[in-house]
Amino acid sequence: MTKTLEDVDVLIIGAGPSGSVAAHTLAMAGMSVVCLEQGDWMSPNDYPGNRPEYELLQQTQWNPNPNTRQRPADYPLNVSESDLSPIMFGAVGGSSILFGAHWLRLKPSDFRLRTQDGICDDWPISYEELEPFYSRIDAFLGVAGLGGDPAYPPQDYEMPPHPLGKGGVRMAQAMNGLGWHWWPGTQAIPTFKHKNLAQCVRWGVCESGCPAGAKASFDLGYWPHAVVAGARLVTGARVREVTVNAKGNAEGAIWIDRNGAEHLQKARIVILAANGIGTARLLQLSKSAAFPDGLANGSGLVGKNLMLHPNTEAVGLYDDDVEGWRGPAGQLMYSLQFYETDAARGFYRGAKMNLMPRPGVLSVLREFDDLPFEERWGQAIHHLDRYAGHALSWAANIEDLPEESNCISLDPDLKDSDGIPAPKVNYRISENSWKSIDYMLDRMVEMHQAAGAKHIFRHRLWTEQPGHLLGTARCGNDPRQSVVDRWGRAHEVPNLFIVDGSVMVTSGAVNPTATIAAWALRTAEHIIETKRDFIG
Amino acid sequence: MMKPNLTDAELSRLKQLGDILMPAGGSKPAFSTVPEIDRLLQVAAGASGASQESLTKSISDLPDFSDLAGVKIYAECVPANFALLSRMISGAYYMARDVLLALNYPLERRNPAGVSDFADEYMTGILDPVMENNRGAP
Ligand SMILES: Cc1cc2nc3c(=O)[nH]c(=O)nc-3n(C[C@H](O)[C@H](O)[C@H](O)COP(=O)(O)OP(=O)(O)OC[C@H]3O[C@@H](n4cnc5c(N)ncnc54)[C@H](O)[C@@H]3O)c2cc1C
Repeated sequence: MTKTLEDVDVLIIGAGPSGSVAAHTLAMAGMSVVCLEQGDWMSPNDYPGNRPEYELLQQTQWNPNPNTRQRPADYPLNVSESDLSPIMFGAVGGSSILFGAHWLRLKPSDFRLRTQDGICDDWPISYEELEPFYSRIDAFLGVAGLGGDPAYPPQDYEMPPHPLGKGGVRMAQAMNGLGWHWWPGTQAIPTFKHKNLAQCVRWGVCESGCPAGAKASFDLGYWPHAVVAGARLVTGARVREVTVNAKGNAEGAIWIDRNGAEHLQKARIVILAANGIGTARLLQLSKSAAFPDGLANGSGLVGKNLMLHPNTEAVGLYDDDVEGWRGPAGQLMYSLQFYETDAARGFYRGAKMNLMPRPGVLSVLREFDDLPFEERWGQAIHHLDRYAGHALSWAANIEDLPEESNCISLDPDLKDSDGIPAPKVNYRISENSWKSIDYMLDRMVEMHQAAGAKHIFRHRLWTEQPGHLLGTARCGNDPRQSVVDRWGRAHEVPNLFIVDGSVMVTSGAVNPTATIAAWALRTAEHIIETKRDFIG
Repeated sequence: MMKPNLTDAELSRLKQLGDILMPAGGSKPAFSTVPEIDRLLQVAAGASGASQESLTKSISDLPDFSDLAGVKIYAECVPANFALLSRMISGAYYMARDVLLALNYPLERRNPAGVSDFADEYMTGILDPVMENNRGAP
């Protein structure tokens, strides 16, 4: 039997960055807010990064791939027809528990691809409209960076950037020699203590959770403030359907607790913040007489246009000590040299590249796995392990263009731990992206060569990266061509909003969380401004 | 999942394999002579993601090796087992203080940035070429 809970003003589904920003903003405005999250609270003590065996744990229990981790709080994904295995994490703070905290804004051109390059669609909003929200989130989280990057309109940060360190300085000199753009890494990792965040101690293990509590994952960066403001967060709460009333408005959500009991949480406004896969899945699960193809899916675009930012990597091993063990990781620097379309390259758009340290010994030895057995093991290993601490990794985050055939659907067989259909991912890397991948990989090899790397390893495609889940409920002005409007409100369901990366019309080539958080703040403030429409 | 626990006999088999994969070299010790190697192997087993059952089976299936050539044949025949056990063995070896010291790999990785570290780098003028040439501008 489903137990009906007391009505609230706003129900948010998902407690990652987007859900937490929305919860904080709405609760601060005095609205009653409940957030349902399938995962649990994490503690910095849970994370493996400061344990001696961390490199093994990162491959198993702390693997970014939910299919490898197999925690009940995550849901599985059918990736049998996908070139990439999307990664994510179900917990308070969502995937930001594992994120590298690279923190970049989209560039103004990203909002107008149709106008500028004659491809895809323009966003219904501009960089200038989102800019104040970017700045406010940066200040709230204590984002560390250096203003003045000529690749961007003016922007600045309250917290200074992290030092480049030996590896970063060496690469900066190489980039200067090549005449290519680079800039010190901007990250959601305050350099020094900020609010409840500790000072970064540069363990370089950011992507398996920060054991120092220094990374602005949103369980630390936002949730404590949202809870103080009055937002109620229910963990172990897996939503299986958003329900609608006779008028076709969202009525609330049915969720399952840890004991398998069902509850109906009613609300005057429902916000989806379950990420570019989870939100599309929920809309597809929420079929009704009024919405036989899934909620808010009159355009038929729910789940379509999935963009995942394929990543390609070049690892350089150096004879000199480049302090490859020193974080944050995080990014030592980024380059936007090859970001915009250049017709001479033969493909549209480009990539953001980032230089990261490569801590650990096993992670460096793995680079040699393709050597003949005798050159990898036995006495030979003593010639290879000396590169521990001597490794730097350039990775390119490739702009993925939207294609309807790249999509999420409900798998007919695979289920999560509550028996709810899991998503199936159909995703193929386009010819445009492959051209970009190969071009960027060659450039990153040149960067390592210029910096004097002794060995350079090319990884054409990371199949289990990068957790940028975008585009599956795009925003737009035309209800036939988009799922939500310029405020994130579903065209067909006036009290349903989406605040995660599914709204993105195009993906840009930067890591998306700064944009997702800024969008969530803007949508939440719009809800506050228009709340009379929903709440007497 | 319960953390697996290795018996003395299993530890011996793994050390035998370890000595072939990681013999003494330079100032680094041979696998089985690493101080506390039994404990480190137990830690590695716990972090390997393998169940007790699969670990017991993988180790009991190990043939007796006398040299690297024999291990190579085994690795080619049973690659999944070899991947699991060699990962554990490497994991245990590179957790050891003596090994990391020999590699010059820092034992204490905790090193917060100093207040002026970035400013000192910046003052060298390292960013001047980027700004002077307006690099990256759209
Ligand atoms: C390893 C890794 C590295 C990354 N590095 C970066 C980086 O450096 N920079 C960057 O910008 N981005 C990075 N990302 C991406 C970043 O984490 C995401 O962009 C960001 O977390 C998205 O926020 P979100 O709130 O939209 O979704 P999420 O953070 O994924 O949160 C969604 C939440 O919804 C919950 N949920 C889903 N379905 C349900 C349901 N049915 N019921 C209840 N709860 C549900 C999930 O459990 C989850 O907690 C990285 C991701 C990963 C995995």
